Amino acid sequence: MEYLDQDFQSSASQLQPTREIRENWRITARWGNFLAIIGFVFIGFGLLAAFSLSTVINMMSAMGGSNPALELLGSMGGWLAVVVLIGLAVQFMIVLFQYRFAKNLKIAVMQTDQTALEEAWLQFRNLFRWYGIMIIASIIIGLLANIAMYAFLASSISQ
Amino acid sequence: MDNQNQPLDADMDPAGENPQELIITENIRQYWTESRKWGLFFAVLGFIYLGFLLLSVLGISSMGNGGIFAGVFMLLIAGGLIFVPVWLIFQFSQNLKKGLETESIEALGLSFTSLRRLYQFAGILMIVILAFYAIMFLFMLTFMAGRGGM
Repeated sequence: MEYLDQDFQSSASQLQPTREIRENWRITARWGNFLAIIGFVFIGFGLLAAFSLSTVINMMSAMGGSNPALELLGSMGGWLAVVVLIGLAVQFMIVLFQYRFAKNLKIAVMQTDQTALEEAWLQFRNLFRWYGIMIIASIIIGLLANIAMYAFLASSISQ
Repeated sequence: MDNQNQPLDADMDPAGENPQELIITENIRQYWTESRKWGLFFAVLGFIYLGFLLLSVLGISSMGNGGIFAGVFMLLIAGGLIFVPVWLIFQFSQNLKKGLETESIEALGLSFTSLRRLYQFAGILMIVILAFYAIMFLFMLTFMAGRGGM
Protein backbone atom coordinates (compact mmCIF):
# COMPACT_ATOMS: atom_id res chain seq x y z
CA MET A 1 0.00 0.00 0.00
CA GLU A 2 2.69 2.51 0.92
CA TYR A 3 4.18 2.24 -2.54
CA LEU A 4 0.99 3.27 -4.30
CA ASP A 5 1.60 6.99 -3.89
CA GLN A 6 4.83 6.62 -5.83
CA ASP A 7 2.85 5.81 -8.94
CA PHE A 8 1.50 9.26 -9.34
CA GLN A 9 0.17 8.79 -12.87
CA SER A 10 -3.00 7.43 -11.31
CA SER A 11 -5.17 8.89 -14.07
CA ALA A 12 -3.98 6.29 -16.55
CA SER A 13 -5.03 2.66 -16.17
CA GLN A 14 -1.36 1.77 -16.57
CA LEU A 15 -0.11 -0.66 -13.95
CA GLN A 16 3.38 -0.05 -12.69
CA PRO A 17 5.42 -2.59 -10.76
CA THR A 18 6.08 -1.45 -7.23
CA ARG A 19 9.43 -1.62 -5.53
CA GLU A 20 8.25 -4.73 -3.71
CA ILE A 21 7.32 -6.42 -7.00
CA ARG A 22 10.69 -5.52 -8.48
CA GLU A 23 12.43 -6.98 -5.47
CA ASN A 24 10.42 -10.18 -5.93
CA TRP A 25 11.37 -10.25 -9.60
CA ARG A 26 15.04 -9.77 -8.76
CA ILE A 27 15.03 -12.78 -6.41
CA THR A 28 12.98 -14.81 -8.90
CA ALA A 29 15.53 -14.05 -11.61
CA ARG A 30 18.42 -15.13 -9.39
CA TRP A 31 16.84 -18.49 -8.56
CA GLY A 32 15.71 -18.94 -12.15
CA ASN A 33 19.25 -18.45 -13.34
CA PHE A 34 20.52 -21.01 -10.84
CA LEU A 35 17.86 -23.54 -11.87
CA ALA A 36 18.63 -22.99 -15.56
CA ILE A 37 22.36 -23.57 -15.10
CA ILE A 38 21.72 -26.78 -13.14
CA GLY A 39 19.30 -27.78 -15.89
CA PHE A 40 21.97 -27.33 -18.57
CA VAL A 41 24.39 -29.46 -16.56
CA PHE A 42 21.78 -32.21 -16.15
CA ILE A 43 21.06 -32.18 -19.88
CA GLY A 44 24.78 -32.59 -20.52
CA PHE A 45 24.82 -35.63 -18.21
CA GLY A 46 21.72 -36.94 -19.98
CA LEU A 47 23.45 -36.70 -23.36
CA LEU A 48 26.49 -38.54 -22.00
CA ALA A 49 24.29 -41.24 -20.51
CA ALA A 50 22.31 -41.64 -23.73
CA PHE A 51 25.44 -42.10 -25.83
CA SER A 52 27.15 -44.43 -23.39
CA LEU A 53 23.96 -46.49 -23.02
CA SER A 54 23.65 -47.03 -26.76
CA THR A 55 27.31 -48.01 -27.09
CA VAL A 56 26.99 -50.39 -24.13
CA ILE A 57 23.93 -52.02 -25.69
CA ASN A 58 25.71 -52.33 -29.02
CA MET A 59 28.81 -53.82 -27.38
CA MET A 60 26.80 -56.30 -25.32
CA SER A 61 24.74 -57.44 -28.29
CA ALA A 62 27.94 -57.75 -30.33
CA MET A 63 29.63 -59.88 -27.64
CA GLY A 64 27.07 -62.35 -26.34
CA GLY A 65 24.87 -63.72 -29.10
CA SER A 66 21.86 -65.59 -27.85
CA ASN A 67 20.29 -63.50 -25.10
CA PRO A 68 16.79 -62.63 -26.37
CA ALA A 69 16.37 -59.66 -24.01
CA LEU A 70 19.61 -58.17 -25.29
CA GLU A 71 18.61 -58.77 -28.88
CA LEU A 72 15.34 -56.99 -28.23
CA LEU A 73 17.22 -54.10 -26.60
CA GLY A 74 19.67 -53.99 -29.49
CA SER A 75 16.93 -53.84 -32.08
CA MET A 76 15.15 -51.16 -30.06
CA GLY A 77 18.42 -49.33 -29.40
CA GLY A 78 18.09 -46.98 -32.33
CA TRP A 79 14.52 -46.02 -31.45
CA LEU A 80 15.42 -45.70 -27.80
CA ALA A 81 18.20 -43.26 -28.68
CA VAL A 82 15.83 -41.21 -30.85
CA VAL A 83 13.22 -41.02 -28.08
CA VAL A 84 15.83 -40.05 -25.50
CA LEU A 85 17.29 -37.38 -27.79
CA ILE A 86 13.86 -35.88 -28.50
CA GLY A 87 13.15 -35.80 -24.77
CA LEU A 88 16.48 -34.10 -24.11
CA ALA A 89 15.85 -31.57 -26.88
CA VAL A 90 12.49 -30.60 -25.36
CA GLN A 91 14.14 -30.35 -21.95
CA PHE A 92 16.84 -28.16 -23.45
CA MET A 93 14.28 -25.74 -24.90
CA ILE A 94 12.52 -25.51 -21.55
CA VAL A 95 15.77 -24.81 -19.72
CA LEU A 96 16.72 -22.27 -22.39
CA PHE A 97 13.43 -20.40 -21.85
CA GLN A 98 14.08 -20.47 -18.14
CA TYR A 99 17.54 -19.04 -18.66
CA ARG A 100 16.36 -16.28 -21.00
CA PHE A 101 13.51 -15.40 -18.64
CA ALA A 102 15.89 -15.08 -15.70
CA LYS A 103 18.50 -13.14 -17.65
CA ASN A 104 16.05 -10.64 -19.12
CA LEU A 105 14.14 -10.19 -15.88
CA LYS A 106 17.38 -9.39 -14.09
CA ILE A 107 18.36 -6.84 -16.74
CA ALA A 108 14.87 -5.33 -16.68
CA VAL A 109 14.91 -4.82 -12.91
CA MET A 110 18.51 -3.73 -12.59
CA GLN A 111 18.58 -1.32 -15.54
CA THR A 112 14.87 -0.41 -15.74
CA ASP A 113 14.86 -1.82 -19.26
CA GLN A 114 11.37 -2.04 -20.73
CA THR A 115 12.39 -4.20 -23.74
CA ALA A 116 14.06 -6.72 -21.47
CA LEU A 117 10.92 -6.82 -19.32
CA GLU A 118 8.72 -7.71 -22.29
CA GLU A 119 11.26 -10.28 -23.49
CA ALA A 120 11.40 -11.82 -20.02
CA TRP A 121 7.65 -12.38 -19.80
CA LEU A 122 7.53 -13.64 -23.38
CA GLN A 123 10.11 -16.27 -22.40
CA PHE A 124 8.15 -17.02 -19.24
CA ARG A 125 5.03 -17.65 -21.31
CA ASN A 126 7.06 -19.90 -23.63
CA LEU A 127 8.36 -21.77 -20.60
CA PHE A 128 4.85 -22.43 -19.27
CA ARG A 129 3.52 -23.23 -22.74
CA TRP A 130 6.23 -25.84 -23.40
CA TYR A 131 5.81 -27.32 -19.94
CA GLY A 132 2.08 -27.58 -20.55
CA ILE A 133 2.45 -29.18 -23.97
CA MET A 134 5.08 -31.57 -22.60
CA ILE A 135 2.78 -32.59 -19.73
CA ILE A 136 -0.20 -33.11 -22.05
CA ALA A 137 1.97 -35.11 -24.46
CA SER A 138 3.36 -37.31 -21.70
CA ILE A 139 -0.13 -37.96 -20.29
CA ILE A 140 -1.35 -39.00 -23.76
CA ILE A 141 1.73 -41.17 -24.36
CA GLY A 142 1.31 -42.75 -20.93
CA LEU A 143 -2.35 -43.54 -21.59
CA LEU A 144 -1.55 -44.99 -25.02
CA ALA A 145 1.26 -47.09 -23.59
CA ASN A 146 -1.10 -48.44 -20.91
CA ILE A 147 -3.79 -49.25 -23.46
CA ALA A 148 -1.23 -50.95 -25.71
CA MET A 149 0.12 -52.96 -22.78
CA TYR A 150 -3.32 -54.14 -21.68
CA ALA A 151 -4.28 -54.99 -25.27
CA PHE A 152 -1.05 -56.99 -25.60
CA LEU A 153 -1.67 -58.79 -22.29
CA ALA A 154 -5.28 -59.52 -23.19
CA SER A 155 -4.34 -60.92 -26.58
CA SER A 156 -1.55 -63.06 -25.10
CA ILE A 157 -3.92 -64.44 -22.41
CA SER A 158 -6.66 -65.29 -24.88
CA GLN A 159 -4.28 -67.28 -27.07
CA MET B 1 14.18 -7.18 4.00
CA ASP B 2 15.72 -3.73 4.38
CA ASN B 3 19.29 -4.77 3.76
CA GLN B 4 18.20 -6.54 0.58
CA ASN B 5 16.81 -3.29 -0.75
CA GLN B 6 20.10 -1.51 -0.38
CA PRO B 7 22.08 -2.85 -3.37
CA LEU B 8 18.91 -2.76 -5.46
CA ASP B 9 18.57 0.97 -4.86
CA ALA B 10 22.20 1.53 -5.68
CA ASP B 11 21.83 -0.25 -9.00
CA MET B 12 18.50 1.16 -9.97
CA ASP B 13 18.86 4.89 -9.71
CA PRO B 14 22.42 6.05 -9.38
CA ALA B 15 21.33 9.65 -9.91
CA GLY B 16 18.68 9.36 -7.24
CA GLU B 17 15.74 9.59 -9.63
CA ASN B 18 14.51 7.15 -12.26
CA PRO B 19 14.41 8.62 -15.73
CA GLN B 20 11.73 6.14 -16.62
CA GLU B 21 9.73 3.47 -14.88
CA LEU B 22 8.88 -0.04 -15.97
CA ILE B 23 5.33 -0.31 -17.21
CA ILE B 24 3.04 -3.25 -17.75
CA THR B 25 2.31 -3.02 -21.45
CA GLU B 26 -0.44 -4.74 -23.42
CA ASN B 27 2.08 -7.36 -24.61
CA ILE B 28 3.05 -8.23 -21.06
CA ARG B 29 -0.62 -8.49 -20.10
CA GLN B 30 -1.12 -11.00 -22.91
CA TYR B 31 1.90 -13.05 -21.84
CA TRP B 32 0.68 -13.03 -18.26
CA THR B 33 -2.83 -14.02 -19.26
CA GLU B 34 -1.58 -17.06 -21.13
CA SER B 35 0.94 -17.91 -18.43
CA ARG B 36 -1.67 -17.81 -15.67
CA LYS B 37 -3.96 -20.11 -17.68
CA TRP B 38 -1.17 -22.66 -17.99
CA GLY B 39 -0.41 -22.10 -14.31
CA LEU B 40 -3.99 -22.92 -13.40
CA PHE B 41 -3.75 -26.06 -15.56
CA PHE B 42 -0.61 -27.18 -13.71
CA ALA B 43 -2.26 -26.44 -10.36
CA VAL B 44 -5.40 -28.43 -11.24
CA LEU B 45 -3.26 -31.36 -12.42
CA GLY B 46 -1.29 -31.12 -9.20
CA PHE B 47 -4.44 -31.16 -7.08
CA ILE B 48 -5.76 -34.19 -9.00
CA TYR B 49 -2.42 -35.91 -8.44
CA LEU B 50 -2.59 -35.08 -4.73
CA GLY B 51 -6.08 -36.58 -4.65
CA PHE B 52 -4.77 -39.83 -6.11
CA LEU B 53 -1.92 -39.76 -3.62
CA LEU B 54 -4.38 -39.35 -0.75
CA LEU B 55 -6.43 -42.30 -2.03
CA SER B 56 -3.37 -44.53 -2.27
CA VAL B 57 -2.26 -43.43 1.20
CA LEU B 58 -5.67 -44.41 2.55
CA GLY B 59 -5.28 -47.75 0.78
CA ILE B 60 -1.86 -48.37 2.30
CA SER B 61 -3.00 -47.24 5.74
CA SER B 62 -5.73 -49.86 5.76
CA MET B 63 -3.05 -52.56 5.71
CA GLY B 64 -2.41 -52.30 9.45
CA ASN B 65 0.14 -50.63 11.69
CA GLY B 66 3.08 -50.62 9.30
CA GLY B 67 0.73 -49.37 6.64
CA ILE B 68 -0.35 -46.41 8.74
CA PHE B 69 3.25 -45.46 9.39
CA ALA B 70 4.16 -45.76 5.71
CA GLY B 71 1.04 -43.85 4.74
CA VAL B 72 1.71 -40.93 7.07
CA PHE B 73 5.34 -40.84 5.99
CA MET B 74 4.34 -40.77 2.33
CA LEU B 75 1.73 -38.10 2.97
CA LEU B 76 4.19 -35.88 4.81
CA ILE B 77 7.12 -36.18 2.39
CA ALA B 78 5.49 -36.57 -1.02
CA GLY B 79 2.37 -34.61 -0.12
CA GLY B 80 4.34 -31.71 1.27
CA LEU B 81 6.81 -31.64 -1.59
CA ILE B 82 4.02 -31.62 -4.15
CA PHE B 83 1.50 -29.51 -2.28
CA VAL B 84 3.75 -26.50 -1.68
CA PRO B 85 4.62 -25.77 -5.35
CA VAL B 86 1.10 -26.63 -6.50
CA TRP B 87 -0.40 -24.24 -3.97
CA LEU B 88 2.10 -21.50 -4.87
CA ILE B 89 1.40 -21.83 -8.59
CA PHE B 90 -2.33 -21.74 -7.85
CA GLN B 91 -1.91 -18.57 -5.81
CA PHE B 92 0.26 -17.06 -8.53
CA SER B 93 -2.34 -17.78 -11.18
CA GLN B 94 -5.35 -16.60 -9.17
CA ASN B 95 -3.75 -13.37 -8.00
CA LEU B 96 -2.41 -12.59 -11.46
CA LYS B 97 -5.91 -12.99 -12.85
CA LYS B 98 -7.36 -10.78 -10.13
CA GLY B 99 -4.62 -8.21 -10.59
CA LEU B 100 -5.12 -7.95 -14.34
CA GLU B 101 -8.90 -7.92 -14.20
CA THR B 102 -9.29 -5.38 -11.41
CA GLU B 103 -6.12 -3.37 -12.13
CA SER B 104 -5.02 -4.15 -8.61
CA ILE B 105 -1.34 -3.69 -7.92
CA GLU B 106 -1.73 -5.41 -4.55
CA ALA B 107 -3.01 -8.58 -6.19
CA LEU B 108 -0.12 -8.43 -8.64
CA GLY B 109 2.24 -8.05 -5.69
CA LEU B 110 0.77 -11.16 -4.05
CA SER B 111 1.05 -13.01 -7.33
CA PHE B 112 4.74 -12.26 -7.78
CA THR B 113 5.44 -13.03 -4.15
CA SER B 114 4.03 -16.50 -4.85
CA LEU B 115 6.15 -16.81 -7.98
CA ARG B 116 9.27 -15.82 -6.03
CA ARG B 117 8.46 -18.39 -3.35
CA LEU B 118 7.92 -21.02 -6.05
CA TYR B 119 11.36 -20.32 -7.50
CA GLN B 120 12.94 -20.27 -4.04
CA PHE B 121 11.28 -23.58 -3.21
CA ALA B 122 12.45 -25.17 -6.47
CA GLY B 123 15.96 -23.80 -5.99
CA ILE B 124 16.30 -24.99 -2.41
CA LEU B 125 14.85 -28.38 -3.34
CA MET B 126 17.43 -28.57 -6.13
CA ILE B 127 20.24 -27.80 -3.67
CA VAL B 128 18.96 -30.55 -1.35
CA ILE B 129 18.80 -33.04 -4.25
CA LEU B 130 22.33 -32.11 -5.36
CA ALA B 131 23.62 -32.50 -1.80
CA PHE B 132 21.93 -35.90 -1.64
CA TYR B 133 23.61 -36.92 -4.91
CA ALA B 134 26.97 -35.69 -3.61
CA ILE B 135 26.59 -37.75 -0.42
CA MET B 136 25.59 -40.84 -2.43
CA PHE B 137 28.58 -40.32 -4.69
CA LEU B 138 30.98 -40.00 -1.74
CA PHE B 139 29.41 -43.06 -0.14
CA MET B 140 29.90 -45.02 -3.36
CA LEU B 141 33.51 -43.85 -3.66
CA THR B 142 34.39 -44.92 -0.11
CA PHE B 143 32.60 -48.22 -0.67
CA MET B 144 34.58 -48.89 -3.83
CA ALA B 145 37.83 -47.77 -2.20
CA GLY B 146 37.09 -50.14 0.70
CA ARG B 147 36.57 -53.06 -1.69
CA GLY B 148 39.71 -52.19 -3.63
CA GLY B 149 41.76 -52.16 -0.41
CA MET B 150 40.70 -55.64 0.59
